[in-house]
Amino acid sequence: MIGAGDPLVSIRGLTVEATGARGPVHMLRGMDIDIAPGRIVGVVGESGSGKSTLAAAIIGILPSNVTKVGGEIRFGGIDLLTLGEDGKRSLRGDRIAMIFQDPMTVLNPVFKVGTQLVDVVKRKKPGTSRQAAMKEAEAMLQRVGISEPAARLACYPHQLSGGMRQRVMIAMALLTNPQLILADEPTTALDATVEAQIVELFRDLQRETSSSVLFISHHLGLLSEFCDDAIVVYGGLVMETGPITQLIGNPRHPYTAALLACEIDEGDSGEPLRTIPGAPPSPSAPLAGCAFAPRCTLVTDACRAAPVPMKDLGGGVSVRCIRV
Amino acid sequence: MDSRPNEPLIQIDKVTVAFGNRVHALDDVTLSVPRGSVTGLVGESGSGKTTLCRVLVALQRATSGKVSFAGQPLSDLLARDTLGYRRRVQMLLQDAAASLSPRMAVGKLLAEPLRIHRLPMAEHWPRVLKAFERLGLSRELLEKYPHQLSGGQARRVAIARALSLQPELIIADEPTAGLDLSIRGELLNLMLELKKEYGLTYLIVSHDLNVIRRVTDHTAVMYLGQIVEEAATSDLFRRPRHPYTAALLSARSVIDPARRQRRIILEGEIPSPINPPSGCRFHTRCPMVRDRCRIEAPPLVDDGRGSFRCHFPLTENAAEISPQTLPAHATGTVLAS
Repeated sequence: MIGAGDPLVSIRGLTVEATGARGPVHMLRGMDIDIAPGRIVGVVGESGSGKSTLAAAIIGILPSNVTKVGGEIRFGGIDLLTLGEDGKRSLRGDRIAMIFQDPMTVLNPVFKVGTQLVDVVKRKKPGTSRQAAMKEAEAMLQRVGISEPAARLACYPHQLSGGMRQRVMIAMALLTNPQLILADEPTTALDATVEAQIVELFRDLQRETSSSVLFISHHLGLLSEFCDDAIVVYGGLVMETGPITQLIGNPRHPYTAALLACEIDEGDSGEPLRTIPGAPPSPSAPLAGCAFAPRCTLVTDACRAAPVPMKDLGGGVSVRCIRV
Repeated sequence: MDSRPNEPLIQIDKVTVAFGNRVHALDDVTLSVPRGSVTGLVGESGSGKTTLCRVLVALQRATSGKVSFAGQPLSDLLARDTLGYRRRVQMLLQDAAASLSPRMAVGKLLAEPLRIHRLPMAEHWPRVLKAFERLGLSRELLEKYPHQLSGGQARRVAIARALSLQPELIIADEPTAGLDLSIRGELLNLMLELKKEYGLTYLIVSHDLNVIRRVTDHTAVMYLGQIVEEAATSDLFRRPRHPYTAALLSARSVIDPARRQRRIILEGEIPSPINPPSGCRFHTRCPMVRDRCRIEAPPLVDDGRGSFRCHFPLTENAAEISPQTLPAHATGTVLAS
């Protein structure tokens, strides 16, 4: 058992390497992350930065071309990387749940929503009668904001709108009352109004449950609305981490500042939009110095010379930059 | 061409599109797109944005109403020369990678429109290559297949292909959905530069109100087959008059907590067009609904600064929609429903 104040998830030196057509691909290059119980932690970064790989590594669904996984992922004291397949299976959908971008990858098109939710309840509590499980599913649909939940239970997934399917998937995750929810861009495909509803739902969940959430997005603005902490990843490394208000109010890493500058929630028509010239580092090339150096406006020779270690600035803020 | 400077490139008058007798995908839509402007079209899924685009690219015939392009009725243009019209109006589809045939290399994809429109290759190919390079794409990409392109590259190839025909209007459906922020910025900057260089007019469909605000001159807000508000973008964002517009604006993400508005969370989802609500179509979700809204459909009112369909438009004082201007129950959470 973990003591009070210990993180629920503690990741140290996590590396993930896969074989590509032209040699090894470094998907994660050594990540250190802590997730405290009951916190909503946002993970932000560009495509290819390793956000989704991180979630896949935690829940143990890395793609089959992954050849090497190093470091450790401790979840409530258990090292997930040394855990056997049986052990992982008993954690998944019980203590760890995942919400994906496309609900249709999770929902089976040939079964009614009710059947699929009942299966989840019965897996968690094997003795439950179908009727009781159905009642529980109905209550959960109500809780995630689905109107007429009883009628929806009798629907097939294709009969529901995209926003409703996403809620069903969230309900499915919550039914297991997990300690950790991994959410991989769950609102990217939704309308802005529906996205606002889902964000509101996460805010309420934060108040009502003790689950920790790892919420992945490429949109810092979205995360700023409901996350407690944020992790900025780039090139398979953590660049900055800390309370979200700190990160946004006082970004310490030039990459965090550059991401913030790309946000366009202010300003009027006509001004050109800010960009980050260049592209993220190739995962197949080794990194000599700082991963962000080729695109950084404040780069010095020292940045390119050697890998930059993470520096703890206190107050929960850590930054990987030689300038701080 | 006899285009007068202020003549709209597109004039849509009271256009209705009905499927069978029951579904009105568009209902009494009037919209003017000035030549050289960037017009934004926003609204939730099912609001009729796509149907309106389909009418403009001549994939869908209007059941009633009138559409003119550069001063001429669309039906005349299509009767005379459908292919010629299609050359003048190009559409960028949301899933750019899927809009490129997976069996053709990029070079062949770029040549295809020239072949379809029977344009002399010798004359046009150099121009296509120039556009290709102008878009920041290297010539090596000409040999690649669509699955080898990144999301940003696929979108650039689609733009190069559209530009090769020298269109007058480009309709872009969610041009930046799913792109990284930095790439989104690069693409939008590029689109605006191309607009100047090629004298283009854009109609941009987007969910992302922050994008709409930054790149468009005019914005039309659609709900359940109707345009519920239309105005100059800066006016619309400063002073929305329709409660639906206000709700959409409040849903956009704002980083600075000090400037963040209280979100107006609309309950439920857009109703089915098969059986639209009586009176004002938005009354089932409107936080400010009154009895009259349930019975009487609001007409389109033009007050010189734009048009809207609402019996009780938000007033000047409500410029920034604050919780005080709405009844207490309006800002409730979704869990209450």
